[in-house]
Amino acid sequence: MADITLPTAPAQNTSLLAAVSALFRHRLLSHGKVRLALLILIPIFALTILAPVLPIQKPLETNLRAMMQFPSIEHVFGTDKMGRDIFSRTLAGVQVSILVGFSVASIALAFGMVLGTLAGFYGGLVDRAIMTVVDIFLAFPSLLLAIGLVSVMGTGLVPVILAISLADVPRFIRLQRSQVLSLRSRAFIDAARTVDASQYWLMTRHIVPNTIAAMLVAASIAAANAILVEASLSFLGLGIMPPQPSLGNIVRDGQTYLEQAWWISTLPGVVILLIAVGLHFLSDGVRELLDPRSR
Amino acid sequence: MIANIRKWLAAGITLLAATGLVLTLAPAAMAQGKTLTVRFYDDPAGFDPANIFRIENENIAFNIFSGLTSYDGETGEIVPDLATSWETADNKTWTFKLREGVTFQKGYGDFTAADVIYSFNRIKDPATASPYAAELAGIVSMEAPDPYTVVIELDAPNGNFLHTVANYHQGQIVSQKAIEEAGDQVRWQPVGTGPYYLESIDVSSQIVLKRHEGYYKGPAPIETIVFNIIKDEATATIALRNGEVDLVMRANQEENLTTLKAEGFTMNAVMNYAVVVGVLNPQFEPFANPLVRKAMAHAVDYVSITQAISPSLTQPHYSMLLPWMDVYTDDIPKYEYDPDKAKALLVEAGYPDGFTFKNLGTSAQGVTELQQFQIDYLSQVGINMEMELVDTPTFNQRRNAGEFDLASRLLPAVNPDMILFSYLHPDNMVPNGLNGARYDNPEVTALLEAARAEPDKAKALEMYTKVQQIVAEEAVYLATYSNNVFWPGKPEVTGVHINYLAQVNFYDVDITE
Amino acid sequence: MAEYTAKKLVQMLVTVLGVVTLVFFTLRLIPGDAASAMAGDTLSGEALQVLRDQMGLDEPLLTQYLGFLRNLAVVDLGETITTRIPIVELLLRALPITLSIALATILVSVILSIPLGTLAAYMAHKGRNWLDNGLTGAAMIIDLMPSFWTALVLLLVFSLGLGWFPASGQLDWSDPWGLVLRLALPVIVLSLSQVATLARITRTAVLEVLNEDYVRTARSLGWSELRVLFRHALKNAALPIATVVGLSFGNLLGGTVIVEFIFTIPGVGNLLIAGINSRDYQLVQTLIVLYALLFVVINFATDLIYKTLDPRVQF
Repeated sequence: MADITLPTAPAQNTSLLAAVSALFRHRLLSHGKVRLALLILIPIFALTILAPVLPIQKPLETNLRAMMQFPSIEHVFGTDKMGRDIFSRTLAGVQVSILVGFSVASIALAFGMVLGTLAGFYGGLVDRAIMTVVDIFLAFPSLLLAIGLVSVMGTGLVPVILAISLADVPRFIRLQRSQVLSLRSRAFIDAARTVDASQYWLMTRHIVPNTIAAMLVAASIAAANAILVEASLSFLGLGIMPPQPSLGNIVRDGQTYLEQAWWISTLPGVVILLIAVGLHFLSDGVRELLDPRSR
Repeated sequence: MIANIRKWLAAGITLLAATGLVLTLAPAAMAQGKTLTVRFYDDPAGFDPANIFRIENENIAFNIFSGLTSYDGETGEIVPDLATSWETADNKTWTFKLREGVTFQKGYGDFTAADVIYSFNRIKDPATASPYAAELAGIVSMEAPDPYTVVIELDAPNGNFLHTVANYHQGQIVSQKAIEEAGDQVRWQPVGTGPYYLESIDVSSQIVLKRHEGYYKGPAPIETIVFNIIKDEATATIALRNGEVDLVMRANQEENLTTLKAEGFTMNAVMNYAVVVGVLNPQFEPFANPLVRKAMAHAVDYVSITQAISPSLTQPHYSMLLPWMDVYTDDIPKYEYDPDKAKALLVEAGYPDGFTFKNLGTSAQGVTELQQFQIDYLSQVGINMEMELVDTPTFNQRRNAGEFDLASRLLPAVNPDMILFSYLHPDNMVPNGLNGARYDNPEVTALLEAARAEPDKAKALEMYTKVQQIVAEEAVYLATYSNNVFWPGKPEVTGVHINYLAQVNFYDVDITE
Repeated sequence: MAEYTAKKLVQMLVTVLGVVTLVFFTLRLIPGDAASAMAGDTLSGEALQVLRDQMGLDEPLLTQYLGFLRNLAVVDLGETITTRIPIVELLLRALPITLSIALATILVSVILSIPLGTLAAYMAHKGRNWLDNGLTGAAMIIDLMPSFWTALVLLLVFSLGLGWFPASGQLDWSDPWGLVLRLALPVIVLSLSQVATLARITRTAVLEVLNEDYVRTARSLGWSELRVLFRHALKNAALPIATVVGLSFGNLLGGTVIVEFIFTIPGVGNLLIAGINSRDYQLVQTLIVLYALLFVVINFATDLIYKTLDPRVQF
């Protein structure tokens, strides 16, 4: 095995770890998109972490004498129907939403990578078993799953994360499987096979690293999407419930007052947007670095 | 490939056209005669008096059917309907004189005493499986000495029997022939003697009522009432402002009401329609202690909260009954906002550090602004209120079974006796009834039973007053605020009187030019 | 091919059966039933039990399950538990509405997104990134607006403000123009996010093909840019686009609960949510079985398209 050079195997195919460390060593921080992403994300996260020591009203503190106020120096994003500071709530909401997004993306990525690779690589019975379950879940409206989860577990962070993940995991498995399928038929894999490479070696050294870029992009989209799905779930009464703020439920609650006080839902909405744009650039940058062809 | 797409498109369009032809929906309202378009806020669930639920369905039935008595739209008082007069000496034997010349809709003939007897027997018949059978269980016998007289004999005196036979649920009079012809579709083919009949229905979008030309008071001013189902509150408001509907059945959002009012729409309303009570489960230890219950009441400033978030729709309230009820008394202890007193009461009760409880709610409603204020206010005296949100059927099931620390209930009723019995009588203790506080005070039970049987109004009032005082003194239920119901409409729509069951009698409604 | 189809059919059957079983037991695992859903504020105790018996809610689970399977096998959809309406009747009303909206949405978004995505890819390939960036940015912004928010903004602007479209009203099939106006806003809201997704997929797929060796070869052979784009790039990009269109069509048919709610559309989503809220097991089960059927059929169709477009694909 050592004495044969694989025909078209790109350079980063050595191992995941090596690829990632090479990435950091070489170009991550000097890549334009990544820089832009960090420029957006770091201030938001910094503010979120600093929120408790900033001179702003506490996120749950109500004030009957300052209801639905237009943004001002004192209340940067204005106040809501209960006189709460929306800026402060938004910062608290970012924490919750990031947690939701990150958890969903991780769960989807983990299950998608493992099960999708197994299904795509081994085919046969394994594939059929996994894909049957995947199909059943895909053919099952995620809304009903969400309602079922909330009915059994009550509303809260965990059922929300589970509900969104349950909808995403099958899609990730499918994506990974299709990637593996197409890679399996690629020339360099055939070559590796002819030299009797072990299955495990093939999978870990050649197939999996080549799928990471697309999966990471999908994961970052899923993370941004999860923040939104949480908003939709809270529209249906299945999301994270106030007074605990999440970006989704702030936007949802503010929607009621769109005509009277547009800022309640719009400004936190812009924050969702910024986070998503940041995540997008980050994943795009990482993908371009991992997969030189797509540049 | 392109050719294929073209083929698909053609197929798609054909399919659409075909389904469109099959499905020409409910006929459009006729050009002649006045038409009123009303927003209806949920899918209808049927209009069979034996099996009817929820206010919006009841409101349709209220206009299709009549009872022996009815409620006045403006005062809420009991008024004659199919019965022109009645008498009783002992609250036990009731004689009703019936109105002559009343006809059923759709040609189902004249109304007579036999219809009353049939209707009530149908409710009582176990085969009908009516949840309202218990309301008429006290009827021992019914007789019709002539076609326009009914004598009803009860097993025990009931001073509130006129409420039982009102145009509501079990009191609505049906036609035997129509019921038998409808088979298992009675809920969709209601036939009554009221001012409007059901012309057509599409359960997910529209209900059309037409006026009953033979109504005994004469035909209603409006010929056709179209109820369009619009579930979203914001959309309903826009529809009214666009002129797509003339009247909005129940607008529940303060800001929308403010906007509509400013734009010159009429704010038809009924004040103090019903009270929202917090049901405290004594099996949750702190709530068994009256001191804790009083502390809970003192801890929240309902005056400021209702004023701040929904001054039109709510006001603070201290009693289980409402001021317009004939047995209501204002002479009860009121627990006004006093956080220091609340803290002191908690110390006295042995909870100096407060406690944590769960408030059971529905996920559909979420955590209301009022509840968010409750959380905030209660936390200031050391009580930690957590919301436990489940979906509506689960909520109903658990609330009926009494499985909660605290749950809210709003019981719409005109009959105060029904509210007190439901909430306080041990026979109605959960899971058998609405007594979720599991209240069982022999003194109150005796007073309630005696008051119901008492023919002397003044004496009954005295007993009801005593009951209200005892219950308020023990803070059995947490009275919080009462609701007002709004039906905003175009200024030219007149006569929208909402009664205390939140219903509108469309016979009174007209459109003036 | 015959063997493949047979295998596929068995697989589809297994999926649908799995969904049937899953939905049947999930529904019954969820606390609360049709009787308690219906009763609301006023009923409890014995009166509730009367209702339960009437609805047959206390029959043994296995009896109910087998009965449901048997009825499915003979395509007897039954009637709703709570309101005794034949489910076929409900579907015949709701399906054409949802179908029209879904078709219109797909049509609008395909027409808009494929040229946009292709153009973006082409420009990006040529090193001019502004359109690509602009498009990606716009797509992302649109994608990130929650539909309940967009829906209300559109209603406020185009219905209340400009008066172009009605906010409510009956869907009258004999009035095509009225129908178009009535469905325009929901279709726009639904298309917005579809366009965003589809344009991005198109862009990626086309860009990838443009970088392939054979396209470079074609170009070096002197083919015109347009010919390269259409003959090779788009043709190959058709695969992922078809997949996404197929999936989103399925999702659109499954009902778009929030959009239907806000725009008062009595479609399938409305039925599903009404069924769930009233715990009408029969209605929910039937809808989900239909949804599952549709899903497997669309999947099958997508597979076939794959096979036709790219014979190398193996299953």
